Amino acid sequence: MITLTIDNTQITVNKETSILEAARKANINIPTLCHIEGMEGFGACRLCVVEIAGEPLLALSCSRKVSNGMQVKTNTERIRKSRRMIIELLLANHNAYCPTCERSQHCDLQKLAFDLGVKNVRFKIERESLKLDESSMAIIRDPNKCILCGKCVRICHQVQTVNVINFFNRGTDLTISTAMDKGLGNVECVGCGQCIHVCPSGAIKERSSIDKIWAEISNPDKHVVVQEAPSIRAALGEDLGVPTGSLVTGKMHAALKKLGFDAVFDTNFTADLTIIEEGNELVKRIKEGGTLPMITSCCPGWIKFAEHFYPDLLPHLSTCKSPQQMFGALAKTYYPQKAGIDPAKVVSVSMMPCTAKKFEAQRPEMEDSGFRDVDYVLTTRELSKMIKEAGLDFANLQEEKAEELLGAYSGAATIFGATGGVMEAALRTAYKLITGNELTDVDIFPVRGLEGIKETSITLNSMEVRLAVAHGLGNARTLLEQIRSKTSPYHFIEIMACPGGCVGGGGQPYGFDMKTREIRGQALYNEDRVLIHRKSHENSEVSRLYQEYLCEPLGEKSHKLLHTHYTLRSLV
Amino acid sequence: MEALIIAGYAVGANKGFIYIRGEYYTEIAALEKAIQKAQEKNYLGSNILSSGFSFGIEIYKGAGAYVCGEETSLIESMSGMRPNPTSRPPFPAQAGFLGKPTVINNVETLANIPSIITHGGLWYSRIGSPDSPGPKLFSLSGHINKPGVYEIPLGVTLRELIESYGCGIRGEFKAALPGGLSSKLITNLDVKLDYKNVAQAGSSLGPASVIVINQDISLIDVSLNAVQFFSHESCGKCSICREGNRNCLEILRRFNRDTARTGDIELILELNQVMRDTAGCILGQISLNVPVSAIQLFRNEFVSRVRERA
Repeated sequence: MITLTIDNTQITVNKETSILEAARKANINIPTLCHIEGMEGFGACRLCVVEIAGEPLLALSCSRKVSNGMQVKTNTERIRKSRRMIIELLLANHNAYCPTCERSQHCDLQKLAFDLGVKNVRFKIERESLKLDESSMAIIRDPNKCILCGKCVRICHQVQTVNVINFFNRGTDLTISTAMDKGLGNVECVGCGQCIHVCPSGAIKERSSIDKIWAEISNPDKHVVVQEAPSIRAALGEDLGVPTGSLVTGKMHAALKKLGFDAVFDTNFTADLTIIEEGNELVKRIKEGGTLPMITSCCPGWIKFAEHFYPDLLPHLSTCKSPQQMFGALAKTYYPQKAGIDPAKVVSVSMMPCTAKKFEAQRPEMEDSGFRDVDYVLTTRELSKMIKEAGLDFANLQEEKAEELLGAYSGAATIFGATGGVMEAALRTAYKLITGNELTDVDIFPVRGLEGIKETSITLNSMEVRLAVAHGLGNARTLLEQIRSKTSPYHFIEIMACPGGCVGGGGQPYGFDMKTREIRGQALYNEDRVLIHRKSHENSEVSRLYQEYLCEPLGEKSHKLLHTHYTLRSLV
Repeated sequence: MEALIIAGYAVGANKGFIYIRGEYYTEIAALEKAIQKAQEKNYLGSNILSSGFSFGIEIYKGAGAYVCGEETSLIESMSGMRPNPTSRPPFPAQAGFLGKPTVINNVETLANIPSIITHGGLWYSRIGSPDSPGPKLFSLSGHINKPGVYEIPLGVTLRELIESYGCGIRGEFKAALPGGLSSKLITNLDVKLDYKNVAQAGSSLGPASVIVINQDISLIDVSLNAVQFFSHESCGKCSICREGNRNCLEILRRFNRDTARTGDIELILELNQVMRDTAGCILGQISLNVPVSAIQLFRNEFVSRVRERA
């Protein structure tokens, strides 16, 4: 252990600790725009400089490790001047018309400029606006707001191992871009949106559909239906005056009705449906010697990742569509038939924690209903904006329920939003399917939590079924390489692209903070615990759907509406 | 090469690298030939001349960037990464190429070694000035009748260098940069060109790339030229170096267009201080040496170009 003094406070920390981390432990927040917690210091922004007694130059606290007896000052005249000037310089070359920026009030650059007391910007760079990268259906990059901190690059490389963005050129020509400037839509970008979370300014954002939704809602000829993903309800309140970790299901449904949607359903319904289909598919593969391990297919970021980087493993993916796309297919077939509405008039909207879902909805094959199954996808952040724009006092809304037919759900569906949730939900039903008995203790703790790769096994009719869960695509690679080298011991694998699962999705309230993601996940488990029905096969509306429309799991209609195929994608 | 082998022997290394710009085709070919010949004669390779010491040399061709002269940046470049300088500590001697302790020296430094070993340290210390002995390759350019590279003992005066070797100035002497664009301007022709005396004169000798400037030239133009160079040659990673150079260039352009504002001079000085304090490598720390020394020595040239905007 190392003992050092930071601003007259003595603190003892592990020898691998950086000065910046040590200071945080001493309740001193050293400002930074380029540091990602838990990663090595990068040293691009230079804001975290500190004075170390006996050293002529300022030291970089994110990269510099502590040493015994070190005397550190974090707030001197010299440091304050330096920090202010760096912010001034960054603002001089930044589109700083903050009120119109997506990121306003959630922008680290804006916050630091304010916190550090920058009162005027004495520099001014005259230059032409740079072209936005609008090639992706999910994510838009605005280089005019990029401060070149490199956080997106490091998340994409080190956490997601997707590697589609990097620094190009040098000096004042430095930019962040994709291979040969092709744009995010033309490279292997999976649209996970983790880069959005780490961006300290408004340089990366989702492609917004808010205005289109308002137009559809105001059109009397359209019947606009909406679904909301499981993890939305654990995060939507954060930017609307409700504490982190609050479950806002009822308020969310109420808000959507007030916004003017004609029918408010719930993606949780099709999460249960997914489990019935996927559970049956797993059982079929096990019994009939199909391709194993089978891997979940709910996550569109993961699907695109597999299509680019592991095309040889596509037969391992479940053929089930994601809950969003299952819902979309039913919203323009089953629902209008039951409700007596012309399916051509139905507009299907989904509220997702995810930026990759925007891409998924536009996949060419996703029109099995005879129409585009999902017309628009909004992120949690966009929904939050609509609620604000409509002036709804969200925190005090009377709770309401989603409508029947496509609205009921079990506890198994709600935990889809946390890493391990799909696995747990599937096991609750697979147990019944294989053994004929009900699983009595439905809490499967080994697959919960934020460990990068989780594994467990369950004995079904004397057969040991081995299971693994990975979240974050870097972790997924470990399991996929095992399959490639034919050493994978598993029968069933859950993969979610985002660290933490959907609660950490690229469309959730801003921040790459695993603690917050864990709290959101906990909220989902809490709901699961108190629900009467905690298994997907206990969802009576799902049973009704099979009785009155689909007939049977993996049946002909299911095959047409609820299952899909994958696309071989090359590398750039 | 001889010196590299000796250096390897001195520190117990068995592998040496020569980092050279990829476009130096002739030089690379010469080096390759020399390495081959040395191997044939067992001056290189395993068990050199039955000494029990083995040593190999590899040529690394860089893609060519000024910042690759910075040692940590050079290591990154050799590792196949962007040549961004890295934070110190750890220093290269602690963890350098491939994470191993690495000694990095300029070719010119190493080139002195064989003659020191042949003739002895005493012989070497008698060359040049007592404070910084030895010969030095002076690269003389600017308003000089006979620019070129001259090997002269350290301690030669600027006047002597210009007159005896460069055959005099074209025009009237105004100032000189003794260590290239990264050094500060000096105006005294009688400064002895060695490390100590140049430092005492407020500048640095560095690589001894002496640039001579005559009275016809505006120091605003010289400053612009220098800052333009660093704007382009910065790796761009540190915000302060990238944006500092970009903004200083913008300010200098204002002086050049007679649209500078009151306060712009002080802004350059303040910017320089922050760049020195916070830039991650020497390039960013010294980028504004030319404009800052120009302001210190020729402030009027700047003041006369300040025009308040309405």
